[in-house]
Order: sequence, then C-alpha cells, then structure tokens
Amino acid sequence: MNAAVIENPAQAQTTRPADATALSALIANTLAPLVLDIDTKGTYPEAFMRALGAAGAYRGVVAPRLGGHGGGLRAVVEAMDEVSRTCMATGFMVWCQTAAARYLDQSSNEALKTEVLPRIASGELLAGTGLSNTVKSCDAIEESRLRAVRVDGGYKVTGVLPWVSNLGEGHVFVTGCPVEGEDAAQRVFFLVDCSASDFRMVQCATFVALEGTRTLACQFRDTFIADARVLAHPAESLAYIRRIKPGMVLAQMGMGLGLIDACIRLMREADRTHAHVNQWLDDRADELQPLLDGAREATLKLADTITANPTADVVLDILKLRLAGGELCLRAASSAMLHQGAKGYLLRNAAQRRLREAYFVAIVTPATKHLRKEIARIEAGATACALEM
Amino acid sequence: MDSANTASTTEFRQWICSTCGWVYDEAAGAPDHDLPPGTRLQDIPDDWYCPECGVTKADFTLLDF
Repeated sequence: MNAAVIENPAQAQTTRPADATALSALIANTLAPLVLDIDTKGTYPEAFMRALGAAGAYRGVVAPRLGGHGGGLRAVVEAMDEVSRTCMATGFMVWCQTAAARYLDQSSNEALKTEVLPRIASGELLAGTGLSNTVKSCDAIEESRLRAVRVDGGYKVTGVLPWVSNLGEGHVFVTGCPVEGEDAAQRVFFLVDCSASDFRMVQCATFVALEGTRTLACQFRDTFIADARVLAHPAESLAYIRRIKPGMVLAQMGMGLGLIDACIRLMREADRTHAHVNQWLDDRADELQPLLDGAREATLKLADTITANPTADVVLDILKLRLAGGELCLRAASSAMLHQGAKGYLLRNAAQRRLREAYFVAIVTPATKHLRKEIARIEAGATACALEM
Repeated sequence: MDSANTASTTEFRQWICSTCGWVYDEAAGAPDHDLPPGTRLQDIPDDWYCPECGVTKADFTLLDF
C-alpha cells in the first residue's frame, strides 16, 4: 500500500470530484500491485477502498450538503470504469459502496442520512448492498430469503442472505424484505450494522475472480432493526424501489466498461507481435472499440438523466443497455483470451482473469436471464416491478 | 455387510442446498464440518449452516433424482 497517498492531507477530506490524474495515479500505485493477490489470494483491498473514498470517488451520488460533490451518477460510473480497467473485482466493490450510498441518498430518513452518508461518501465507513434477493423477489424470480415482523420501535428480521460483498466488522449494508401482515408487494428497506447483535457474518464459499470482495453470508436471527435504521417503510417502498433500481442497474455498467476497455488493450498488446495471425479472429479491437465508445456514451447520458430524475422513464433503455454491456463483456473477454493465445493461460496474464470477471458482469443481479425476462415483460406492457402488477 | 446394515444404509438420503448446490450425504456425513458419517439431516442442529453459502438446513431439499 502506498501510505503517502492515503496520508496526503489534501486528499483526506476532499469533496471535489475525483481528479482524473490523481485517480489514475492512485490506481496505478496502490491497486495495480495488489491485483494478483486480490485474484489469487482473496486479498481484500481495504486501504485502497478507503483511499479511493478520500480521493472523492464515492461522492457523486451523495447530496452536497451531506458530503457529495454534485458530480452525479456519471462521476461514480467513471470512477468504477477506471478502477475496473485494472481490477473489476475492486470495481464491483466501488459499485457496492456507491450503491449503498445512493440507497441512503434516496431515502427520506434524514437523520440516518446525516449520520451515515458523509462517512460512506468519504470512505471512512465501508458499505455493501444486499439487495440481490430483494430485487429478484420483487421481480418474481425467487422467494425472499428474509422475513420481517413489526415490533415496538422497529422490525425483527430473520433469514439468511448468502452472498453480500464489501463487508467486515464495522461495515454496514442495505437490504430489504417483506413484512409479515403487510402487502406482499411492499418491502421494508433498512441499514444493517455488521456488528449488530443477533446478526452473524460467516465466510463460507471460495469464489472465482471475486474472492477479494469480502463476500460473506449474513445470518439474521430475530435481528432487531430500529426505525431509526429504516430507509423505507412498506408504505413508502414501491416509490423507493422506483427511485433506486434504475440507477442501481445502470451504475453496474461502470464495471463492464472498464473490463471491455481492458480487454481491448490486451488485444492491441497481443497484436504488436501477432497481428499477422490475430487478424483471423472475430471481435477484433477495432470492431469492439466503437461498441465500447457507444456504450460509454449511452451510459453517461442515462446517468445524467437518472441524476436529474431518478424515476425518469428510461427503465427499458437501462435494462437493454445493461444486457448489451454484459454480452459485450463476454465477447471482449473471450476475444482477448484468443488474442493472447497460450500465454493467456498464465496466472499472471490478465486475459484469463478478465474471462472470469466478465462472467460476473453477466451473472450479477440483474443477470442476463433476469434482464431478458424483465425486458420481455415490460415490452409486453407490464410495470417495472413484477409485484406491482 | 449384513442385511440389517444394508437396509440401514439405504435409508440414508442426500440433500442439496437450494442456494449453492452443495450436497449433504447422510451416509458420508461432513466430518470437516463436525457431522460424523450417518448423521441425518433432521438430527443436525438448527444453527448449523451450509459450508458453501451459509444458509441453514431449512434451505436443503431432498436430492431424489
């Protein structure tokens, strides 16, 4: 870890948009040397995540009065893109951190926002998002894994979320679940303190490509969630989902854009010595580059739209772009591997890592099959959340 | 193996975690996870969890194909 970067007082409390040159230097100096350990040893790049926050990379989705810099969703997508060019697993954690920040930003719980958001925006408090199951249960893909019961002063939550990322002692994450006796379409959304009583995190699985993301199983056993930690009560939840979901899905493009960019670089690098034979491959760098440029332009344009109006009528556009982004990741990573040839199999060669990372973009919620289902459903005239039908 | 033991062994069943696909074989148990061979799913403590994904035994379904 480059301590000088973290200890730089000029970066410690910046609320300005992350300077592109400083961000590049931070990634080159502190993240790039860690990538192999993140991938093969499951090293969690905690110091980098905090330094990135200190440099202002998470502040785009936070209101300026709470530590944001006004850069909007565009700014966090650009930071995620830049990080993912070096390590998509870390780019995913940038998404986790900024998604959690945005869920808070879109909540009406002003006291909680005031308490927590400036710390998440600065990277002092690291945060995850446990909304995969929540979203999939809303879209009638799977049953909710958590159940809440209303009690005096809050809710009691029981169940298990198998895979929540960017967690650790002292971290927080956001999730949501149905409440007994309430409308089945509604949810309660809340912030979980990882050190809460009657709550346990357990490290179980070993992941491909994502082992460094501190992805843990979260077990709730009648865990008390005080009203003060609630982001949206059931009656508010449908409107809340409409505010958070489009931006949540769109922001994931940052991971894909960075990964595709890195794959194109791998192709160009291989062409320096093997263009005479690589020319026979499909999905060449010059073919993918305009697709990447177009996807980046479309993503940033939609990010500006969502920043201005989180419920703008662009859900279908976002789902189609996100689907195309995942598919392009697979094409780019597969082609990068073929361009690199035998050396692509070396553990130190990024091509094989990119291949494993690419499938994550296509599988993380909303996965390719989920996106196709939702696109088909909405094009058939349904609303954007299955349970609202 | 006598016929009584054979009958007992065939009663053991396999269960699959609906979240991650980890299979629990009652006959083999899961010694690495403190479950001796022959431990029935019903006898596993409620606070036990799947070693692959952390869900409880309530998320296991009978593997019957």
